[in-house]
Amino acid sequence: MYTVVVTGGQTLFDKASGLQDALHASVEARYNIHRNIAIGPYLMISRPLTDETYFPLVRMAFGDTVYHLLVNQQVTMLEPGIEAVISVPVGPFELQGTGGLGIWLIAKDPQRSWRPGIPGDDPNRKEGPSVVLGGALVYSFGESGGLRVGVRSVMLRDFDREFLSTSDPLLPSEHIPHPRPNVPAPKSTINNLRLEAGFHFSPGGGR
Amino acid sequence: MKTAGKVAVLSTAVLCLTACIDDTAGPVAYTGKPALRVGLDIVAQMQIPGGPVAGKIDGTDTDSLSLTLQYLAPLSGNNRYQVWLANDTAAARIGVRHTTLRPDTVGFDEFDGTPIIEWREVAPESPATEFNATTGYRQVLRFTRGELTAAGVDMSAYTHVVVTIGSGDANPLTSPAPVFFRYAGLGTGAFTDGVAQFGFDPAAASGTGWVAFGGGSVEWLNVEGFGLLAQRIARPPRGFFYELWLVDEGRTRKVRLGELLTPAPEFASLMNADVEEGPFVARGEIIKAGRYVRWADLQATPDQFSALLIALKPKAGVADELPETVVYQAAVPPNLDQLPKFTDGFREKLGK
Repeated sequence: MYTVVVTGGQTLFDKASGLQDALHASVEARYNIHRNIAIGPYLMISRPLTDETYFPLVRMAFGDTVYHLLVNQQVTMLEPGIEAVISVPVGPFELQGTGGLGIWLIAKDPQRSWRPGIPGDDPNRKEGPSVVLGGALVYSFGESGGLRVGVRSVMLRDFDREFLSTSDPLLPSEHIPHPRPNVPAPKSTINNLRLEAGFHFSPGGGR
Repeated sequence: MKTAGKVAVLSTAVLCLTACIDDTAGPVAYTGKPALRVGLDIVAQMQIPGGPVAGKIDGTDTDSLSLTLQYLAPLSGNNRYQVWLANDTAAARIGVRHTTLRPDTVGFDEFDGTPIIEWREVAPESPATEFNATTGYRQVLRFTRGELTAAGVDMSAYTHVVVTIGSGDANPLTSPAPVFFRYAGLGTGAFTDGVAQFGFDPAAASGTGWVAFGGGSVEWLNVEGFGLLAQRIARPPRGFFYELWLVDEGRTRKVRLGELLTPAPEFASLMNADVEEGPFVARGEIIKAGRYVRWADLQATPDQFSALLIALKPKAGVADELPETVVYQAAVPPNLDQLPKFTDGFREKLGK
């Protein structure tokens, strides 16, 4: 009655997010409350790079030598939640529709941008609610395992792109213009697209 | 089932390892290589309009005034230099006797070889209500108390002699006024000796004229271009603006870059910094100003130039040439084109 789904793939981040597309992995544990309906927790993990061209240019001067720098970092993104899956068998395949609610959490690279915080207000991590909608095509080897390919739309709310900046406001570059002056406007809700492929298996066999 | 489970776990582990470490993270140099910073400094021997003023004593009172002015730019079109008596609220145009002096090299200093100059009158003194200037020449203006009285001008009602740029009968209280001299306190009308100064401001007619201060730096980004940042520099006098030029050693190659702008990212024009205050223009100074120039836009290379100049120029009335009134300058570093070029845009890693 239990199914474990392990997938990996590519996340196409919202253009307003300031994050570069990255690989991700996810694991899901589903409990079938009906032959065609399952619910259970999921956890998605990715470590995307921020896109340095979205953030201010900084200037570091050492005597007559000056560096104009764009700075990025690799963040750690965790997205746990609860989802429900509806399955529709179609011959040897199975179509699945997924919907879920969860939270997202982004932790900044402590070696690049750690800042002291106060209890209840950690400037090095941020979190918010998320909504997941998706679909998958599943091919089963038998009763206990199979392959799946799918796509998921993950909506992150309360997103703050400025949080991802590591550019020190005390080191502004005022001599030269930013190499990318027109980036997409920041949004508080971003929609990421996840393309994924993976496996599912049922430890006890059958569902 | 066991095989499928192992494959799943193994695949997940590989994915995680691949995704967890990305060595492209880190600071990325915009130009790929460091830039060179050069100071933007005030020109030591600034050639700003002005010159000595002499009062001539006739009997017991000073009766005439003679202004010897230099560094006045040649005017274009119908524009001429006009002479006024003014205070901070009113002005009266006056006629003067005008003559021009040209420099004549009569020898060279036996120690340092500098030329010895004598100033010779180009033409006899003649009456004038307006005049033009010639580069390198001096203009001499004379008038007397008696002439002013005969022309119906009560000099005791004014405090300053003001030379303006204009056509027709321009108002000196709003026109560019490159030279002024305070000859007396209001109500006395007495002539005195002194120095004619640059930059008349009617609102501060008792002031001491325009004075350069401040500075900044220029950062030369190898072969891509350069960025200028000037900080707390003197606000231009009324009717003038700052203009940037690139010149070579002999000033035979001159490229006009345009006016000073606000710093990045706005780069808004400061053409009207003489009359309009704003986020970067305070009452007495320009707080920050900048300009970014790409060599590709100039269709030039850095080795063709030796200095970046910032000159004060009247907004109208002068030819499109490098003004004599160069106020700030920065050197173009030699062999700039031999610095490493960036080949991978701003994604090239620092230190590689």
